[in-house]
Amino acid sequence: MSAVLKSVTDARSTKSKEEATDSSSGPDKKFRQRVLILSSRGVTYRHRHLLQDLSSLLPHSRKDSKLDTKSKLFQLNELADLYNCNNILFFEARKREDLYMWMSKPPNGPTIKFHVQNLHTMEELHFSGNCLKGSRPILSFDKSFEEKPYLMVVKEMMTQMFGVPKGARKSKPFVDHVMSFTVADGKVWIRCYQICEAEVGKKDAKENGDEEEEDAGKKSKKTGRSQTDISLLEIGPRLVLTPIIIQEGSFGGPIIYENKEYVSPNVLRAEYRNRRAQKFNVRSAQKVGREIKKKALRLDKHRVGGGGGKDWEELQAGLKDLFQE
Amino acid sequence: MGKAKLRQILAADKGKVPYLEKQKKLQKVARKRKRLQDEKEEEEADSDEEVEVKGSKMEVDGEWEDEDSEEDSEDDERVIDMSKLEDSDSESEDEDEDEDEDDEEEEEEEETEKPRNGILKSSKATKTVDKDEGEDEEEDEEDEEDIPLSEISEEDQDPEADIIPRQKLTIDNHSALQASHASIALPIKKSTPFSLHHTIITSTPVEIKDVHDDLTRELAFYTQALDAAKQGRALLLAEGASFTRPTDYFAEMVKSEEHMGKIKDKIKEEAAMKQASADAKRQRDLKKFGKQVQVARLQERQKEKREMLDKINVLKRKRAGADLGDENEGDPFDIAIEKASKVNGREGRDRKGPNAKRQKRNEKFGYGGKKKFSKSGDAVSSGDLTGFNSKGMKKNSFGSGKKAKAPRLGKSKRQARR
Repeated sequence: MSAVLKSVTDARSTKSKEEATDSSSGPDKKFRQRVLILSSRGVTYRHRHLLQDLSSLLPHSRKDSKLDTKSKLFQLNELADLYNCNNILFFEARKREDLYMWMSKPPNGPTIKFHVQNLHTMEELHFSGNCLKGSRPILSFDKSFEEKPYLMVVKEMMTQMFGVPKGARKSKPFVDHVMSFTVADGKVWIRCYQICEAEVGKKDAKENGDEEEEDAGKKSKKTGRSQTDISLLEIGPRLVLTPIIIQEGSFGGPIIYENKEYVSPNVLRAEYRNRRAQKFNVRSAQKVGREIKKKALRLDKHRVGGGGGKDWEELQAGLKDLFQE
Repeated sequence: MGKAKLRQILAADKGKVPYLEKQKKLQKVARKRKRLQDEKEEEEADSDEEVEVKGSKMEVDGEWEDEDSEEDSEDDERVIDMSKLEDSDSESEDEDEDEDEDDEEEEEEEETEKPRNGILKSSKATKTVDKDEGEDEEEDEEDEEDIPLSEISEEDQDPEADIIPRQKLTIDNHSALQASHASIALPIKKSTPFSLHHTIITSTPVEIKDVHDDLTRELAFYTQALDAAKQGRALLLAEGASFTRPTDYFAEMVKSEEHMGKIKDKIKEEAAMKQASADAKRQRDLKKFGKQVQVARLQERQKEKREMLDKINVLKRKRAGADLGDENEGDPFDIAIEKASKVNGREGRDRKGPNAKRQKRNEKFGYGGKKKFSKSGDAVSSGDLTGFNSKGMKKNSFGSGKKAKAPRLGKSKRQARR
């Protein structure tokens, strides 16, 4: 059965290739992409699971062991060269809570640094969607990616990172999931969905299209298309990327874009702590002020609970006598 | 205090606000000029204005100085002092005539103007005329200049207001970005088959009103992805590329069987939880309702019982009130009551013993106990009043004749009987 299928698909692919060459009338350029996926040391289980998910979604990726350094990131270029990769997806974990994602085109392409937020892996998201390991996704981009130059760069990088090239080594010839990239609130939101087709007439239409003449086939395809109902099921993972900087070189070179709106999580945390500290400071100052006020009013002596004062000592002595008797 | 020192200080002071001083002076002159003009009009002097002004200035000044000096004394104090210091040390000049003061002022004016403004000096005559027109403007200017000065001084006083919040520099080098984009961009043209790149861009930017509203946000993403899936499918099918996985094509999935099993369990568990909670809710409702039913039933039962008791009471009364027997209802309860009353009545004598024959024989043949005194009365027999009827006493002792008629009962009793 599989042999038959293979022959069919082969025939189809050759056909499509011919078509492509005919239409483009140029050299049928294959987009070769290979992604090196690795992380720094100090990642948490969640980050590790994200890496796992991504590598399972990207058959053209190569997972490597953790990088030891966080400062000499240019070493990654050599590493990519070693593994024959022309894309690097590097995850840098800081303080065991913040995750930064570096995307780079090793020889001399640009580098983008993202801050990863709202990270949810497949493991913890109990989504019922599933897809073939190695099937090629459809990449859906928001129109707003074309509006600003830096977003254009981001889009191009993501196309090359997440788009599985045709004929990649472990890729499967079917399409059963969509990856959507949306710009909202200055961040890039990534989602992954499975494509569910209601099987009404779809297969029949396809077979008809193969067997019958072209016109008829088109017709049946059309009818098939109208009949099939497409719905989506989310697969996971979910993540939100905030672009921080874009460098011209690969892990080096001048910064050609910097996000003004980005606030480091360290700053946020510090602010939060300061705010809380301020509360305490105000309170303690109030306390001292109150004490001073009381002293000034000489209220301490008359207060039964308060220590000190002649009356108080007398009262204490009296009470002691009472209890001893 | 040394004269030189004072002068120094004053000079320094003066150096700070030279133009203010100047303006004040100019203003003053202008004011004088105005008054002069008014006066001239009164005097109906038709001669040339400028000449008049120049010639009569001193005299007019003398006339008007009283008011002027009062008005301007505060303004001019510094100038006066200065002139005093410059001219002499005599303090009596304060009491000097105002003319002198004005003279000095004018001198001062000239001195101060010299280094600063050549124009003013060169055309003094025209200046005076100009000043009449420009008086208001100058005042405005002064105001305008005054305000920022004061502001500046205020700002100098509190340093925090001056701090500009530290701002990150935005780097957004468009040309460099475009260049780097061009360097890495895949050569995707319109003619490039879709199956090569699999990218779809939405026709309109996805707009999410509130990013923090999960439902709308996820819906926007979903619709975006769904549109892309539909488009992509159409394109791929049009190109003749394979899209759907055949049902008999098995391969490793992204999520393992184990993982999917977990998810299934989770879903099942959730469903079960939902079901259980729904059941529990129903049960609770039922319980509430059941309680009501039970209460109602109990109440009903109690009501029945009460009615029954009432009936019985009525019957008892009937029985107690009259001999009855005539209008007896066909109630089964009557019998029961009769039976009950029999049971409740005297025991012993009435108890059925052996049959009559046996009794006779027992008597005859001396069976069962003592025969002696058997006919004599004892405590029981003497206490027994069954045979006694008080009504019998009223009857004639012979027992025959009419049966005594039952007396008529009271009205309520009679009605109750019915």
